[in-house]
Amino acid sequence: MITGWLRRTVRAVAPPDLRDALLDDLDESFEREARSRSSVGAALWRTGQLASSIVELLSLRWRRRHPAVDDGPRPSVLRAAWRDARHAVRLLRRSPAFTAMAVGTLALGIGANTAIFSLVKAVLLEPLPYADPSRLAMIWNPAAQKEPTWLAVPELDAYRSSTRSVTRIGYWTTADGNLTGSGEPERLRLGLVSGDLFDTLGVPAAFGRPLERADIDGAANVVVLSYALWQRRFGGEASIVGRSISIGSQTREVIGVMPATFRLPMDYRDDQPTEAWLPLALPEAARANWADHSYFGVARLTAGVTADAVGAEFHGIEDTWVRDGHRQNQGNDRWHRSALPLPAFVAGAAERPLVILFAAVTGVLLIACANVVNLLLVRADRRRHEVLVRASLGAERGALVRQAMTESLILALGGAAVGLGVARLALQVLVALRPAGLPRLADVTLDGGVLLFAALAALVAALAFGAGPAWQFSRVNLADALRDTGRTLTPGKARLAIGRVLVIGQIACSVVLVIAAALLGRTLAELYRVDLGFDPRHVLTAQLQVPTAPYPTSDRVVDFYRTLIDRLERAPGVESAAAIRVLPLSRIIGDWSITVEDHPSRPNENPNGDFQWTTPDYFTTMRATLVRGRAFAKTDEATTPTVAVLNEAMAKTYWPTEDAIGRRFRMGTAAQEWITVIGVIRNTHANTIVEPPRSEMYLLHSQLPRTVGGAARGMDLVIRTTGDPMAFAGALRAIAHDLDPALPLARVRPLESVVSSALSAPRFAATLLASFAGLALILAAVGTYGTMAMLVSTRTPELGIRLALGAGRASIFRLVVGHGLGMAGLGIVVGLAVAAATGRVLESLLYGVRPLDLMTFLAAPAALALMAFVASAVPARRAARVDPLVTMRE
Amino acid sequence: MPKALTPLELLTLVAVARLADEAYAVPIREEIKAVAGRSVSIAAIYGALDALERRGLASAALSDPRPERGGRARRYYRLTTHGREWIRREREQALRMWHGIAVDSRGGR
Repeated sequence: MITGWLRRTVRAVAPPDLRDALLDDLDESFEREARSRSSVGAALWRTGQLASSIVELLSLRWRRRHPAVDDGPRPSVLRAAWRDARHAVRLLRRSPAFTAMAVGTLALGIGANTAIFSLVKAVLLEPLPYADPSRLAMIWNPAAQKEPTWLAVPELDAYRSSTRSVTRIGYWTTADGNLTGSGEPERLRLGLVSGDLFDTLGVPAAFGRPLERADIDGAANVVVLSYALWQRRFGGEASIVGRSISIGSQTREVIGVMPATFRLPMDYRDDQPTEAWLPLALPEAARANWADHSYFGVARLTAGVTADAVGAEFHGIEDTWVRDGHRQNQGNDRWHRSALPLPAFVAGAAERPLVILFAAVTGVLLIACANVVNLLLVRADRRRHEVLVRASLGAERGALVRQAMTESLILALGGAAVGLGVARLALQVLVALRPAGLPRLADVTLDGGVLLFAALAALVAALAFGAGPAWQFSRVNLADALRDTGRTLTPGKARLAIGRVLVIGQIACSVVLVIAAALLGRTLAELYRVDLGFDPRHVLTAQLQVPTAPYPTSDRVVDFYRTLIDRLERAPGVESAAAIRVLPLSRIIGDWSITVEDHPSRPNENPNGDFQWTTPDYFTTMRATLVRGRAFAKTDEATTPTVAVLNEAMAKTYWPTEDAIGRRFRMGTAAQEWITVIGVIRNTHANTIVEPPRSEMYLLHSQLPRTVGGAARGMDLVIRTTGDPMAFAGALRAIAHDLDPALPLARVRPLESVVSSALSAPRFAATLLASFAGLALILAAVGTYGTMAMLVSTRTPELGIRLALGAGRASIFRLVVGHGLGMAGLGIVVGLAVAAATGRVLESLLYGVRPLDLMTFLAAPAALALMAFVASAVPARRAARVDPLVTMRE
Repeated sequence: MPKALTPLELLTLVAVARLADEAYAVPIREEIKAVAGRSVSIAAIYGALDALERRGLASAALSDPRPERGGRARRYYRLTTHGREWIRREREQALRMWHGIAVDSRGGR
């Protein structure tokens, strides 16, 4: 990676007439050299050759342009810098322990920073893979940004035809469908898209063409595939375009494959993205249905128009709908839509945690830099003599400073190079943690931009810590040189003051990091303790989609699920089994408007509930708690009275003062059958773990034709097993295959892993912050130890005198430790102040713990104080053992 | 009086002479390493060759594209008359200077 970058630089700086021959010759000499060296040796040699080539070539170009200067072997500025660099490398090689320490510390700091930066870059900075993405916006309800905003087709048509601020609108909905034919059947997420969607997004196909208006208007039997699906199922063959495949029991012609980066905007928020796109074929009646809120809309804004202007224009249009009777006036903004710019929509909730992580990791880098400054200062102290000699022999002060800066720069670059390796490893770990809340994780790479960042970080770091020794060299005083006999009582007061300030800064930084990590850690612990309302242990889940081809009617679908559940429940090792519309915590359930019997309709009220449908044994299988009435029974069938179970929240919302059991409601306002409430269960956490409970209703799957007008084909299976749920996966597949070999089971996984991935975002932030805090603690401990050790060594003569004058060894120990704790105390006070002032930033990430949590604010300083005690106790013991005679004689 | 060559330029000039028809950067570099014990980078050799070329001591010619490895042309160098003359003069000057001096390998005299 580094060699690739260096090679490109060599190519760029080589004069065109020499370029090709030079690169060929470089390759040839690498090959020859590789034969006589180890692979690591050859790689190092190659890197060195490329780096020095850049300098040589720059010098060559310069000499060509200034032939007059070529009149003698005078070195150019570049050559002088190169010589300085070689000198610095030689010096650094002579003290390998120091070099390893400095480079290692920097590598940790720069590596962690680079890794987080590449996340920030991929998630927040990289433009979305659409044409001119800054002009794209989701049509979204600004009052409820976290919930999906579903739109009806007539609404979308109205937005498009009567606004000036929007040039195009595309919309789509998602569905599940089975891909059959080549290989194992597979359940896919499909996007059903409008005629203008691909045009609005402005992305050309990688092969073939995207869907166009004519495909949709003509309801053509065509499909466009995602790159991933094309690779996985069709081996990436270009001949796929024009072939026919079977999707959702229909044969469709593949007309195109989209680029690997292409996603529909909603896919960035979903851990199961759409993988194939079909024309949305809508009958005329559906196109005019104002109540069918099933679509997501994305708009391309007129250049120069702000999102607010779009919102204002939409507001005007929405008012006419009330006038025309398409919608009730509900007096609030529940139905208002505005434009939510796509970059903000995609970054969404990920922005805050990433910015916090980046700030935290910058703190770690600062602490690392402080340690290197300390190391360099110690080294500069030791080289004081050398520097004095050189100065007295006539070395220019500028040359000495340049030498010091060069050395820092070399260290920083070394740190950056090793740090890139660290970043690479760290990224692998980060991606393996799979934070569900982070969109675009797949796009994270260490590319040129990230390299540039690492180089910049190194440069800034070098300037930061190179300034110390350079300053010291620049103060070299020949009078000192003559006077200095290597012995004074307290040399370098300013020097020690710098060390103290650095340690105080390190400790302050660490306090902030430790507090942030502890708060997030406690949040995570609280989240794990939340009572979900169901028991996720020993439950196996899977997704299933019943196609129309062999099961054309609702009856057949209901029959299929009943037979499957029966067979599963009879299988050994199964306690009970059921199917549910949407597995809790797997995705947003969505709500459905209802009409409550004998309930006066009020203007600002829109009775609704999150809707689920299940087979009878769902509550038993999930171990949900029934608080009133009864659960579904096997005797509730397609032909018996229609029944429903509600959660407590819904029962309380619509029957606040009376018993909900025996009451009736119906789905929507259309003439469906009344449904009788037979039971109430305790609230469960369905959409997310931290949400307040929402109204929820459970209908019976077999009664759907009467309650909503047709049985659903896609369901999630839940199977409670006696042992390890995954051990039943094979049997589940066998039973499903036995019923219908063409039916794919998707996402077979334990319910516990579903719950666990719902916690992945807070776990990600907490894990990272905890590791940064740990790193900060270690680095701060090293820094404290270094400073205290130096303090002890410079004060040894003084301590010797104290001992000789009768001070006890315990009091010397106390003196030194007291000094260390004093520094720590100051750092802790500063850190606490900063943490208290910035605590609000964390608030939105916390759950069950306040940003100014007292326990945390007591524990973190205690940890730091302990660290400072240990780090100063070691030098303090050494100080207490000082032999007064020896020190006095020296 | 023409100005002197840098040590590397002189070594390169001599290496071009020694290698005759096989003088391009890779063997020149190895020749200098083997004979003079100095390890330099390919790009430094290019720098020296460029200086020699600009002073009219050597000339470059691209070979026919080679059949192997991408088949690009190599940049071969030959001495010009001026270059051969320079070497002869350097050699005579050096021999005159060193004539009659015995160097003891132990460093003493």
